[in-house]
Amino acid sequence: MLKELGVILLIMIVLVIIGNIWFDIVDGILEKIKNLITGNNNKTVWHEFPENKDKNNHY
Amino acid sequence: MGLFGKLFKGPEIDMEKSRANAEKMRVLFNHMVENGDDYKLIFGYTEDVSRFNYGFVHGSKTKIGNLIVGWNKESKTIAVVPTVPDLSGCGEATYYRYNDILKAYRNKYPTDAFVIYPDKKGYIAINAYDWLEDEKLYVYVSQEKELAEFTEFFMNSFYKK
Repeated sequence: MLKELGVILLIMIVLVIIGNIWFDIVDGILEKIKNLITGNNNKTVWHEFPENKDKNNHY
Repeated sequence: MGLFGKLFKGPEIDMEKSRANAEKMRVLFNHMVENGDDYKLIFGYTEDVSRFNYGFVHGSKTKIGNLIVGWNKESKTIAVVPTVPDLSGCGEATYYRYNDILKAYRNKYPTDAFVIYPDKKGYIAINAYDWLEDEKLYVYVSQEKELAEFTEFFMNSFYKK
């Protein structure tokens, strides 16, 4: 009984792992296709954190 | 305190980390917004929920957008600066002035969010909590008092329907 439950649990874990890998593959491909179609039109302006600290380690 | 006492107490906030992040939020905000010190700040976030169906795998995915939300009571203005959980940078500020917006209200369901319609075309829904532990998704900052102040400002001075 316990052996069967263990096997079922293992199968379910494998299915979850495969499902997650499948999601990552398909989602990644779709993102790449979307970027190719839209190009770089949606580039947002980004500002890095200004690194200027005083002697008391405050910004 | 015994073991059970510690269990029931819940997670403890690292106030030093929270203070450091609050300071970084202020630096980023003031960098992007003129007279930034005239604004009080809280951390908020947006949730973009979409459904997907990839054959035998389907469900919904949520994209979280981090925001530094500043508000000025005198000018009745909310300034929103997009950022990331580690506050390594930020985007351009967007301003919502009371006289220019179409609607502003608090939505309780499905999530507790402050909703602003700048015009008929779109809206922004700002979610905010006093503290969120997941540093991979949200800025780690404790803001119970600031959130209460923002809620009071939004409901009493910025509400528009």
